[in-house]
Amino acid sequence: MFPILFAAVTGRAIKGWLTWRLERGERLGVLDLLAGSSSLVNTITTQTSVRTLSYAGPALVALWALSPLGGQASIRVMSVGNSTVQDTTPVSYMSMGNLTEDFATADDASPLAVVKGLYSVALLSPYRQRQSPTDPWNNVKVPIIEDLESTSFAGPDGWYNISSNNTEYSSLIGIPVNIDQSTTLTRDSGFSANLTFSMESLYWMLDCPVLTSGVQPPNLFDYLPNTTTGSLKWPLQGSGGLSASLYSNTTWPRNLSNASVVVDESKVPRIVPPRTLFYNTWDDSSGESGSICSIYTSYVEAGVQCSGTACAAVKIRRSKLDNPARGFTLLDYSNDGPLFFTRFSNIFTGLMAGHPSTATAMQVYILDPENPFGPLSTGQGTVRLSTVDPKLYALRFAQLLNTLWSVMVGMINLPQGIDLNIPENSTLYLNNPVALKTTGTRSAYIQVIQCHTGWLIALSVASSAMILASLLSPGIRLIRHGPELNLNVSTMIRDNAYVSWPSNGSFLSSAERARLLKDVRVRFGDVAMGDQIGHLAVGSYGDNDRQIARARKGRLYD
Amino acid sequence: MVDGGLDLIFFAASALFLAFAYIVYKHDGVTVADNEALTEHLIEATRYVSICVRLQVVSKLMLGRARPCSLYCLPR
Repeated sequence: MFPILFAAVTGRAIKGWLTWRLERGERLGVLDLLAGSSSLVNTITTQTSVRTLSYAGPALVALWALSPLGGQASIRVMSVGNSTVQDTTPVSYMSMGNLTEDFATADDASPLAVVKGLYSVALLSPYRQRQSPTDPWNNVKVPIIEDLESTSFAGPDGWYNISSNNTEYSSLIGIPVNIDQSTTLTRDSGFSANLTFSMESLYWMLDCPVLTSGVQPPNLFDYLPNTTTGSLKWPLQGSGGLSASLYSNTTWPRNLSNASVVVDESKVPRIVPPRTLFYNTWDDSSGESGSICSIYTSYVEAGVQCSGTACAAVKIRRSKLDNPARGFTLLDYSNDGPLFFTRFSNIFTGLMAGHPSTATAMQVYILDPENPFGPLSTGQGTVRLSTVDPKLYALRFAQLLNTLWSVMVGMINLPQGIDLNIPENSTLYLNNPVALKTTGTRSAYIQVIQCHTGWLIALSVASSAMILASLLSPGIRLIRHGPELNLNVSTMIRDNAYVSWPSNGSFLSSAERARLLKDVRVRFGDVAMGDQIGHLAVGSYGDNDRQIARARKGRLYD
Repeated sequence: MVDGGLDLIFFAASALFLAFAYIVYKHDGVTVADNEALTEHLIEATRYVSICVRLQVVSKLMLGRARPCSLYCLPR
């Protein structure tokens, strides 16, 4: 539509300009150029045929070039495309720094039933699930940053990207996350949005340089009580039996608080020697496999990405917060002497009940994480944890400890999710918030109307030129005084000596002249047919006094 | 008289294209889901090379109501 309209408007404007210039007086070359300017191609060919250069030539070419340009622009100026829109939304996630008071005392039979159930589910879940970034309840697992630090390079700001084939997770259990789904973007866009946010977390890492066939420490029995009701001899604390035992030294806590329950975290020294763990497990050769491990806390910030309600950590870095020393662990939080670790040890070693001379699923997990409830856990096969690579032993042992801690911390929140509106200052047994809050950035691809700037400019320029051209014709008509001239043959024969026509009637417009002359026959032929040399001109013929012969080949013309 | 009428028509038709460009510019980034009718009209205006569609779009969006033209020249 645009080129048709453009040709109509511009053609009228050029014709008006031509007649005005003709009336005012103009070089014939310019007038011929204007007369021949009926399209882009005609304008160019007219210029080349006349072989004259003038200001009007390039201007006319540029003007006609707007015709196809505007035509394309009117079609391409708009499209529907995707655009990324963002908003923010509140996110709550479970803090790993807390614990319910249920575990503060030995009166924990009821919560222990829940803990054992959740722990069993974690170990019983399919191997693919245990390797995945989420746990069976879709909670977000925290990757181990130490592996990434040793195998890949950090990106900007210390972030390590996480891929499915380079990631070991710190626990078989993830962190419950709750996202506010009532934000505008989710509600109105109609498209599933991606959400990204960062969450602070922590996990334990172990360093187990000593793996032996036989108990650790070798003089363990010197520390054990003589009676079942007696407490361990200082400085060892812990619990266990023949199948598994977990003890630790008591270099920590060290009078950080006067309170009987909770350590004041702000008083923790910047450098703290790590707690030493002695983990002894059943061994079918020597009775016990022993290990000595140091336990550290890793404070990390995980970048989480959610697609719909499915979330996973996609990057991780060391926490930028002012966290306690790595040697300080949550096992040191309680200041009630060695009892807290003893309770933790008691829970850990008692999670999987079984025959005293059979490896539990937890011990088999260290040997064969793909199949913790396989034949080894039923007394078939050889169970010797001392033969496991120390790094793998440390990793899997830490995963078991972290899983227990996750289960204890998230006893309620793991299966049912965390409450989005939980107060941030809500604390439990340990003096840390139950839930942490952050703000997630939600991105969604939505369809929007797209205006293409280049084509918009082209359409605007072409349309503006067309508007000016449409105003030019009536404007010229206002300032002209002569009759309307059409560039037709009736105009061409004005005052032609070879046309039989009264000499008056010059005031008539081209249209009126054309109507009056419509029956006059004219020809471009030889008006000197009786002479030896002919003369070619436009003239009328057919009347009595004038004959115009058609031009012939071979005849000479002047 | 005829010339004056043609001048008016040509001027209006030319102005329609400029107005259409302005409308597209003003609705750049508008969400399709929130403006389905608008999007449909704009797409029709670009897809179907019809002056009537452009006239309807411009009149609808600038004057707030559709011209009678839309009754017979808008693709159904």
